[in-house]
Amino acid sequence: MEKIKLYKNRKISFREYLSSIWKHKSIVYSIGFGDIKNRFSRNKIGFFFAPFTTLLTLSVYWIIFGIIMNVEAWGVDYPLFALPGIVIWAYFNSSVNNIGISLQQSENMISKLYFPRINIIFSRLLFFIPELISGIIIFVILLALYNYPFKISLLWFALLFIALVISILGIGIWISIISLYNRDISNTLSQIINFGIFVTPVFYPGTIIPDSYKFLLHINPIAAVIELFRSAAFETFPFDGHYFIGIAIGLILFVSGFFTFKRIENKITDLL
Amino acid sequence: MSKAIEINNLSKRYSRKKRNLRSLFIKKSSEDQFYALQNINLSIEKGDAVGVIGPNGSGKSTLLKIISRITEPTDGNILVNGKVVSILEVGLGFQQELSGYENIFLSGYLYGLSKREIESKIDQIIDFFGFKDFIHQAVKTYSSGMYARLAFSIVNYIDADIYIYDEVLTVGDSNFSRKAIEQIKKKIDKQKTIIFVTHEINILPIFCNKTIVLDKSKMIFYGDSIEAISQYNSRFNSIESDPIYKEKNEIISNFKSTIDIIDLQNLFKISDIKINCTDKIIKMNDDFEISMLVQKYDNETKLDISILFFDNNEGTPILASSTGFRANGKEIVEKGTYNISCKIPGNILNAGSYSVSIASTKNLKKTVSHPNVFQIIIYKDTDSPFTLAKTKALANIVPEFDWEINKSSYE
Repeated sequence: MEKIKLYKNRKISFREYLSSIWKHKSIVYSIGFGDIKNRFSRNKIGFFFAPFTTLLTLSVYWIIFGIIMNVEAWGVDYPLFALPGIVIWAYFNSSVNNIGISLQQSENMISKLYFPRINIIFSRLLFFIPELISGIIIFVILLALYNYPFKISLLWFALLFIALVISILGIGIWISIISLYNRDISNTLSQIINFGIFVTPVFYPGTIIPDSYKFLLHINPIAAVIELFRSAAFETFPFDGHYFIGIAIGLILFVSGFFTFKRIENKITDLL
Repeated sequence: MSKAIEINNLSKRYSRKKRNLRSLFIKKSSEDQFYALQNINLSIEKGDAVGVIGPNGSGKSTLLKIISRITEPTDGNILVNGKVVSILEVGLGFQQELSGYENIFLSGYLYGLSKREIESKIDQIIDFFGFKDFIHQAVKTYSSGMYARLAFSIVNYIDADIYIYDEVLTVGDSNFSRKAIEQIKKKIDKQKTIIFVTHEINILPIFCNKTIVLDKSKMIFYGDSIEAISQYNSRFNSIESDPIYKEKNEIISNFKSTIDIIDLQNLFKISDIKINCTDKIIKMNDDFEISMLVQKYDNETKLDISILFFDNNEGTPILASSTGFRANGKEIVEKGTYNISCKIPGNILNAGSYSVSIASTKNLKKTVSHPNVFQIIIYKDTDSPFTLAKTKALANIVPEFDWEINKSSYE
C-alpha cells in the first residue's frame, strides 16, 4: 500500500517528482491525442489540413521572398531553404501559445484530480505534431524533387529537435506560470512572441543580418535550431557556432521554469 | 484498526486580494484573507464510512480537495494512508471530444493506472455504465446523468483505499442511485474507507457510521451519524435564509406533508397529512401517529387507506398497514369528511430514515400508491438500555418480542 504524507508546504524531492511524472506519463499522449482529435474533428478533410497550411505558407513566402524579393540563400533553392524555418517556427510559435493557456484550459481536470500538473504542459507538445510531421514529409519530397543528396548529417535534426522542445518548454512553462499571476502580462508575451518571426531567420538567411545586430539571432534558441539545421542539411550553407548561445538560453529557461513550476505546483488549483 | 486519514490543526486560507506577479517570489502578507477551513482535527479509521454535511460554503469541498491532494493546506498537517480516488462536483474532468471509451483510459491514466490495468477493468466499467451503444461516442453528446454515471463507474472499479464521493446520488435516476449505493456498501464491507458528502442527510445514518458537521469553516461535530443529524437540525433549524434547508427541516421536524392526494376519478381527496408525536423528534421508543383528512365525494366505492414504510436505502417496502386490516369497525364508503389516524407503537422501527407512502385502494381492487409523502427519521433512544443492541441488529423492524432466558440448572 502506498502511503502519501502531506504536510504544510512539504517539498517533494526532485526524484519523487520525476517518478510521479513518469508514473502519469500516459496522460501526456492521452490528453495530447484528445486535443489533436479536438482540433481536426470539425475539419472536413481532417488531418490533411495540416500539410495544407504548411504548403500555403510555403507558397506565399516563396512568391514574396523567393521570387519577388529574390532573397539569396547561399545557392539553396528557396522552397528547400525556407521550409525548415517555416515548419520549426510554426511548431514553436503554436506550441508556446498553446502551452501558455494550457493550465486554464485544463482547469476542469486540475480541479478534480491530483496528478503532476506539468504533464498537461508536456501534452501540449503533441498538439502541433501533425504539422511538424507533414512538414518533414514535404521536406523529404522537395529534397527528392530538387535532386539534393540525402546526407547523413540530416540526422542532426534529431538532436536539434530535442533542443527545440526544450526551448519550447522553457518559454512555455514560464508563460504559463506568469499566466497564473497576471494574465495581461502572459497574453502580451504571447503576442510579442508572434512578432519573433522577424528576428528569427525563417524567410531570410541569418547571414544577411549586419554583425552589430547578430546578437539578436544568437540569443534566440529558435534561430539556432533553424540555422544549425540548414548548415547541416545544405553543404553551401555556412555554420555559425555562436548559435549555441541560443540553445544554452533555451536550456536555462527550461531548467528554471521546471523548478519554479515544481515549487508552485500545489498552489495551481488555488491560482487558477 | 489503523488510521486512514489523520488531520491535525488544519486550516485553509484563501486570499481575497488580487494576486500579482510579485507574489510568485515574495511571501504574501496575511491581510484580507478568509478561512475556508479552520483548525480541523480529525482522525478517520480504516474502514470507516464518514458522511460530511453542512450548508453551502461551510468548507465541505475544500476539505475533500485537501484530502484528495488537489489543493494544499495553509496550516497544519494531514496524513493520508493509502490511495485516494474521488468524484468531486460530478465528473472526472473528461475530455469533451474523446469518446466515453477513450475517457475511461484518460481517467485511468490520471489516476496513475497503466494501460493493462485499465484494459482488465474496462468491460466491467462499461457494463456498470450501462450505455454500451454510447461508449464510442464523444462525451460531449452525453446527458448529464450519463456523464455522472460514467464517472461513477470508473471510480468504482479503480482499486484504492479511500473513496470520496461528492453528491454522487443527486444526478442519476433512482435505479442508478440504488446501484451506486449497493456498490458503496460493498466497498464498506471490504473495509475501504468512504467519505460521502451529501445534502440528502436522511440517507446518512444507515450509510455512514460517522458524520462530520461543518459550519462556517469549522467542524462543529464529528461522531455518530444520527447524533450528527440532530445536531445539524438543531443548528440549522433557525436558518431561514436558505430555502433548501428550511424545507428539509420542515419535513423532518414539523411532520407535516405539503402533498395533497387527489384521486384521478375525483372520488376522494386526502389532505392535511401529519405526523403527531410528543417530542420534536421521534425516538425508537416513542409512539407516533399519522393522521390525515379524507374527503369522499361519492357513496358507492369502498376506500381503504394504507401506510407504507420504505427503507430509504434499499427502496424496498418494509412495513405496511391499512384501514382494511382492522379499523375500529368502520369503513369509508359514504360521502363526507373523515379524520383518519393510525397509531404506530414505539419499539418497532429501528433507528434510521424511512420514506412513507400513502396508498389508496378502491373496492379492494385497484391500489394506487403515492410515494414519498414523508421522510421520517427515527432517532436512537439514548436512555434505553437496548438501543445499542437494536442498532446493531441489522434489521429495520426490531420489536421486543417475549424472549425468555432460563439458565439451565443442570451443568
